[in-house]
Amino acid sequence: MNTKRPRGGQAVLESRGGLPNRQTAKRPNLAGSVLEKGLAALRECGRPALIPYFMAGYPSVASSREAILRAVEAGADVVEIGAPFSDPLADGPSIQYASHQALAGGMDLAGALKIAESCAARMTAPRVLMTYMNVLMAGGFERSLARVRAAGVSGLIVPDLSLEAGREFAPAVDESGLDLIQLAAPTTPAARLGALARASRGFLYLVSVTGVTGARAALPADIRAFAARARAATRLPLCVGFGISTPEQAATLARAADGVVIGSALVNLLRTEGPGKGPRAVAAFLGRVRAALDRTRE
Amino acid sequence: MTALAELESAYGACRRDPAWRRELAALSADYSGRPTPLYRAERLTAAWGGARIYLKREDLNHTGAHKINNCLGQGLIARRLAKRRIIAETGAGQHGVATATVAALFGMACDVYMGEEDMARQRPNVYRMGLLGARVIPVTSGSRTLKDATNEAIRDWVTNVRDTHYIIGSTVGPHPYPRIVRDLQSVIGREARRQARRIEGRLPDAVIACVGGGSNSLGIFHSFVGDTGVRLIGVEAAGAGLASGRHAATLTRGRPGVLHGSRSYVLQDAAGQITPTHSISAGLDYPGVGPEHSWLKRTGRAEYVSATDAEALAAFHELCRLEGIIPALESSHALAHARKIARKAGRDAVFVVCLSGRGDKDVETVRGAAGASNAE
Repeated sequence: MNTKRPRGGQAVLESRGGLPNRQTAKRPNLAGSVLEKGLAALRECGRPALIPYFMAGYPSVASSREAILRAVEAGADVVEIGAPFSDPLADGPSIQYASHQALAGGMDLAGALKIAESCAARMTAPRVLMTYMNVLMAGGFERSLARVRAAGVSGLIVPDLSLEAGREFAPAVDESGLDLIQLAAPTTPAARLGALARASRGFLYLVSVTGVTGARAALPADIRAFAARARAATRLPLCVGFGISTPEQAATLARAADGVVIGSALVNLLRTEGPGKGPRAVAAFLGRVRAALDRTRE
Repeated sequence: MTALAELESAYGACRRDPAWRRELAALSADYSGRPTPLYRAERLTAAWGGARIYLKREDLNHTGAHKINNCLGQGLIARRLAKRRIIAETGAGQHGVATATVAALFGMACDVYMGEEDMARQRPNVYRMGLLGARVIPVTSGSRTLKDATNEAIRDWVTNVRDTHYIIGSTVGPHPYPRIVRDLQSVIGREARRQARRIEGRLPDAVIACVGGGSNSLGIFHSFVGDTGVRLIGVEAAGAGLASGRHAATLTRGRPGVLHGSRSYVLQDAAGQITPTHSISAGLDYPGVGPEHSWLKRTGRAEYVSATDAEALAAFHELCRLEGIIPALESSHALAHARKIARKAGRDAVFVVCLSGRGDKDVETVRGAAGASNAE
C-alpha cells in the first residue's frame, strides 16, 4: 500500500517529516514548546498529527529502531517511545506483553534513551518518552529527566504521575525543559479537565475510552463530545489515543481532535510479523492511516 | 484520576454522617462480631518465659480475619456511590472472601482478581469466594501473585469505573485508599488499647503485628502512635532469609519508589523494575508497603523487623499446640518475633500481638512444608 510520505502539511515540515526541534534543545519550558508549536502548525495547515508508539527493545533493539525510522518515513509527526516497566498499570495485554519481552531482553530506561538518541540523528519528528514513575525515580528523578532530555526527547508521558502528586515534581520537570503531557479521560469532570489542560505541556492526551491501552474493534460514540469539552478548556493541541486499531477509526477521531496516537495495534503487528518483517508491516499500516487522516481534511 | 476524587469526597461525606457511622458500627458488632477479644495466652507466656502475651483476636471476626473491617466500611461507601459491582485483589484470599461476603450482603456483583500461584496455595478460599457468589479471575501475568492481582484490579477499575467500586485490601494504592483502609482498620487498635487498660490497668510495652501491605499492623498501631512509651513493631516476611534474596521484607530491604500509585518503599532492582518476592504466606508476598509505614519508619516511631518462613512455621505450630488456636501464616510472623523478644523483655512486660487471621486456609501449605522438611 501507500508508504510514501503524503503531501498534506509539508510546508511546516522539515525534510524527513516531523516537527523542528533540534535547534531549540535548550529552550526554557514556556508555553508554546516545540511540541505544542509544531502540532499547532500542523493543525493550521490541516494535517492531523500521526503519533505511533513503540516499545523500546520490542521485538528487538534493532527492530524497534527500524520501526521508528520507517514510521517517520510513513508519515509520523511525533514518535512515542516506551521504556518498559515490570508493572505497567495503564497498559492492556499487548503493551504488557511487549514490556515483559523487552525487559527479558535486557531493555531499560538507558537502553530506550539510546534508541531514541540513535534515531534522532535520522529524524526530525520529536520523540516523546512513555514510562512509569518508578523507572524515573530509580536513578534519581531529576537525574533521569536530565538523561531523557540529553537523549533529545521533547516530552514525557507518565500515567502513574497524577496531577496532584505531580505538583511536587513539577518544578523538576519544568527545569528539565521536558513537556509533561497530561492524560484526560471521558469521565474527567469539567473542573478537573481544566486543571489538567492548564498543567499539560506539548499537547493534551485524550484517552478515548475509560481503561487501559489496547486495540479495540469499536470506539465509544461520546468521543466527539469529550473532545469538544477539551477544546473549550484549552488551546493546547488535542491528541486522542487508546484503542485505535484501524485507519477508519483514526480518521473518525482525527475529525474531533488534532492528532491520533496508535500503540497496541502496532505492537500486535510487530508480534505477528516478527522482528524481520514487522517494521515494514508497521510502515505499510501507518501509510494507510496517514492516507485516511489526510482524506479527512480534503 | 476522577474516580479517586469521587471516592475521596464520598468517603468524607460518609465520615461526617452519623447514620453511616451507626450502620458501620452495627454491622461490625452484629455481623462481624466486634469487639474481638484481647486474649491472655497463659501457656504461650509460660513457654516463652517472659512478657505476658496478649492476642488481639481478629481471627474471630466473621470470615476469619481483620479484612472484613475494611470491606464493611468500603461496601457502605460503594452503596452510597450507587455502584452495582465490587472488585478486589487478593493474595491469601482473606480479603477476597471478605469482599465477596460484603458483596453478597449488599447484593452487588463481585469479581476478585487472584494470582494463579496464590489460587493454587489457597484453594479453600477460592472455593469459599465461589460459594459467596463471587467470580475469581485468575491472574497469569508477572509473578502471578498479589502484586499482579492488584495490577489487574486497577486496570479493571479504570475501565469500569462508572459502575464499579474497587475495594483495595490494604493500606496501599493511590490516595485516598491508604487513609480509608487505615481508618477502617484502626478499630483494632482502639479496642486493644481500651482492653489492655481494662485488663492490665496500663498500656502494653509493645504492640507487634505482621506487615505485608500493612493493614492489620497500621490498624492496631494507629491508636498507639501518640503513646510514645509503647513500642510498635512491624514484622515483615523474611522468606527463605534476607540474604537469600527470596523474601518480601520491603521496609527492611526496599528503596523509595512508586508502586500501585503509592509512594513508599518498594522492592526493586537498580533500574526500577519491581523484583519478585517470596513468602510462605501469600498475604505478605508483596513488594510494596503502605506509605504510612514508610513514614513511621522514617520518623523512628515504629520498628520494622522480619521473620523467616521457618520461624513463622515454628510459631504457627506452637500456637496450635499450646493454645488450641490455628493462626494464619501471616500472623505467625508476628508471633515469631514476639517469641524472640519475650524473654528479654521480662515477666513484667506486656505484649499485644495482632492475631490478624485464622489459619484454616493455610493447612495445605503447612502440610506441604512439613512434607518438604520430612523429606530432607
